[in-house]
Amino acid sequence: MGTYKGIQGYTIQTLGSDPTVEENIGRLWYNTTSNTWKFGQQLAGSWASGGNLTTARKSLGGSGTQTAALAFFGSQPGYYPSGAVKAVEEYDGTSWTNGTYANSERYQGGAFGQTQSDAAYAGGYSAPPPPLQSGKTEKWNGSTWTESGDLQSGRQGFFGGAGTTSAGLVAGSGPANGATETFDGSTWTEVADLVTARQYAPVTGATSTAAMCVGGYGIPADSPYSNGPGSRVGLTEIWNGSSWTNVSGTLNLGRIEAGISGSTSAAVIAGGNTGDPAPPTVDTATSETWDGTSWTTVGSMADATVSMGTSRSGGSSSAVMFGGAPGNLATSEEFTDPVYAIKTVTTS
Amino acid sequence: MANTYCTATNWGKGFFTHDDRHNFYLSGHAGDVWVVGNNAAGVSWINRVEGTAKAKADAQTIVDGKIEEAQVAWDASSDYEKSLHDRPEKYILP
Repeated sequence: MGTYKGIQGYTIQTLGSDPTVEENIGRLWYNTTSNTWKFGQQLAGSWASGGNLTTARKSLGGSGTQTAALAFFGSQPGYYPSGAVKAVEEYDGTSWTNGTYANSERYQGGAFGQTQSDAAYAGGYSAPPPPLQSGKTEKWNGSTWTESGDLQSGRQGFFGGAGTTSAGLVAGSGPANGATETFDGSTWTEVADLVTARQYAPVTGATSTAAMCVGGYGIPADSPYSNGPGSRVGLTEIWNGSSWTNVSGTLNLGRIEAGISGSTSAAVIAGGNTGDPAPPTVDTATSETWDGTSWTTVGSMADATVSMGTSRSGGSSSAVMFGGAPGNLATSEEFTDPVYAIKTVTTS
Repeated sequence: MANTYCTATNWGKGFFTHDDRHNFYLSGHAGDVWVVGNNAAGVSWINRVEGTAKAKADAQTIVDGKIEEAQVAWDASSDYEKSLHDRPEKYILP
């Protein structure tokens, strides 16, 4: 019979406290404080509860990371067209704190910016009185919100955006619009349309020259609102700075109003509304990660959620998604992949 | 029995952890209803979050009631909103 050292190449350590788990995957040790055998384990990505927003809401914007995120704008109780808010909150990885409010109330706008101190919100529904479809843009520099140039056309139905407050991008809006606009810090310029016009389509990207648009909803041709291909699509399009290209890696589950975080090389998408063209449509808790080529189904959220705000930076390994619907949620969930855990050896 | 049922209010960070998600099935539903894998870790979680155990039928009644409220809200929404989402439908808890 082989010895542990013979198999593993080292003897079992006796330690007064647990070591860093990331450096001890598959390793067994004896903890002399708790008098227990323990080992390090690397687990698949999963979702855990995060802090609750102070202001419950849906259709809000987000930026930053899992441990330093920003939530802004959104819609608080009530259906279209009411309920737009200008509330802003900062997340430290544990709890949300009220921040400096924006100047205007809006929801379903395009959110971009990569950090907690660099974010912007363009377009969306504004509070009554009309016109409700806003083109307004506000930028956040970590201390104040400043109004900047308007979108070329007032639109709503955005889910996310790409780039920074000095070089940003929004695309896909309602009803089923393929229009794309880029932002230079002060002015919006209309550029090439999405290949497939859609709304409620999650958009993310680290820069205004590397973005992706995933899923979304093209309104059926018989709809009074627009013409389009219909259905909750799983299409993935990549923006290279001058044009959009359909790539072969489609979502495993087509969805609208999903949360997305990351870049064109690594991203995570979660939640949303799915089911069409075979109604009834349903909200989903499922999530998928993107590796630059294809989408892979990973662990589901605990709650089936739509229209949530998201962190922006963290690739496919880390994200926080907050607020959303059904109803107006205050809860958040944090995605981490992989998950490291210290397990105690038991006899059961 | 694969699942057990409770109501509990999600207080935020730590309410359910990555460890929990790897140790038992967990899904949240309207009305603070939680469907929890019926194993030792799941039962321990219900105790930890001070959940109120529910029979499946009672949990289903709570969720159904919330969906009926959502149906009323949907009926009152605009045609545009209705074009994006089907009317919420009741479903059977897992």
